Amino acid sequence: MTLPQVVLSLLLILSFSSTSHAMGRPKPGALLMGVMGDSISAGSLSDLPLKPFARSEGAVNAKLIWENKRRLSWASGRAVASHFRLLGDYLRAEGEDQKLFIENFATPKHRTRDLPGQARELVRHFKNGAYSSLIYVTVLIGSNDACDKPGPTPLDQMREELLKTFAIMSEIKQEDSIRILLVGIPRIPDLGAPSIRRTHTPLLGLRCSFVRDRLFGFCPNLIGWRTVAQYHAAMDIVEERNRLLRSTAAEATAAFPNLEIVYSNHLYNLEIPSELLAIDCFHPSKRGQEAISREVWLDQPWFITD
Amino acid sequence: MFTPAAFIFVFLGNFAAGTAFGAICDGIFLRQLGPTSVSADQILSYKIQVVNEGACNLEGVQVTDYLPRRTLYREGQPTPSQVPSDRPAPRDHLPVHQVQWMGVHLPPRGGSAVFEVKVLVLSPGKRTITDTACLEHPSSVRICNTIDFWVND
Repeated sequence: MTLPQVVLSLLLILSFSSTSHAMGRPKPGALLMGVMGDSISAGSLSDLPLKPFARSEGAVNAKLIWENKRRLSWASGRAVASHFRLLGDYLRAEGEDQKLFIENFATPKHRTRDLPGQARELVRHFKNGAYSSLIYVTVLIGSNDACDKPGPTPLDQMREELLKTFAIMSEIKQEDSIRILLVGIPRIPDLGAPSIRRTHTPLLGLRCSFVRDRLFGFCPNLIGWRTVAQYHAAMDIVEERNRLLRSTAAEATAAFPNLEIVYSNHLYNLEIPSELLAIDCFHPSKRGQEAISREVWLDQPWFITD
Repeated sequence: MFTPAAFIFVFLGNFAAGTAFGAICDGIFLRQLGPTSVSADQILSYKIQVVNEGACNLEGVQVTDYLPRRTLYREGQPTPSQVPSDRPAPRDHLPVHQVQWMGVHLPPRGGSAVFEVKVLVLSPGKRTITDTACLEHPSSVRICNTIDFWVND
């Protein structure tokens, strides 16, 4: 058995897949926050930082976990200042006495074509749980579309799936509009920078170029650039899809009056230093998840304290 | 340079929503003004306008312009607090290309400021470039607006 196979087998043995996304029992009349997306919102590998930080900042939990929705997801985690926690703080400050529940349907490797399924699950859960309101939904999607092999998901197909998703969500009838924060794709091609490729990981000191590019094989289309022209071609793929997300958010807001969709481009404008990466040199670590939450929270215009 | 016909100033994108800064600080707006298109290897000039129609006296506001990719920063008015490196190629470290003005003061009920940015648009043409400008107040919310420019051949 080769080393990559040993490591991947270990990962599979020790990983677990959260079959239940529930973070509490539904109570009639309670508020619901929903999370949709891919491995970033699922908190994949966020428990294993590339560069372990000082223990005073929090002990590294040396577990191999494929999903960290309950603890480390920027949207739903309880061990980071996630949007779920920030929303809870806001509601308490506003004197809201209805309890807030969270459901995270984000799944690693999901693309826009998988979003309608996540939306159906969300709607089904909302109706079964007899919640009074779906108060807030985060959607971070598109990275796997941009990374797709042999080529990125076509823009018209992404648009169609997104509109289908929002149509499903609009089936929820409630007094307030449903507030949806649609977050654009991060600067994935920047992860191919030589400074990151050369970084040593805690995995036997192997470099990121080996762990990420050969062992895991993450997103070679966008990360495997070697020339300036290739880098810009990869960035074009991301930028085009972010434009599509932005325009579709506006289109869906106009088409579905009970949805209020705000697009955030901020992850695209953020640098990704290796300190924010997980051991696979691709996903965000706990610190990365915190940074995402902090930065993106500023783009939602609804839950603002004085 | 732009021909007069091409240099039609338009309000690009929406006037970014001003629901920020809490209930008592509503009415903060940001928008970019500039041409709809530009030619490759020419200067693109656009303005970022911020307005405070609300009742809050906003001090220490930060305005950031995330410059379009494959452009070179040339000039900012007033002089920005922070400007990007002049080297366009991705190196070991890939800095996000941004210009920043710190300590902007926006008095209540109509306080406004305008920031002008000039960048050289690099080849190739026949593509869309994107600019995002954000207004941020310490410990408060951020308002951003993203616009596109078409690059002619």
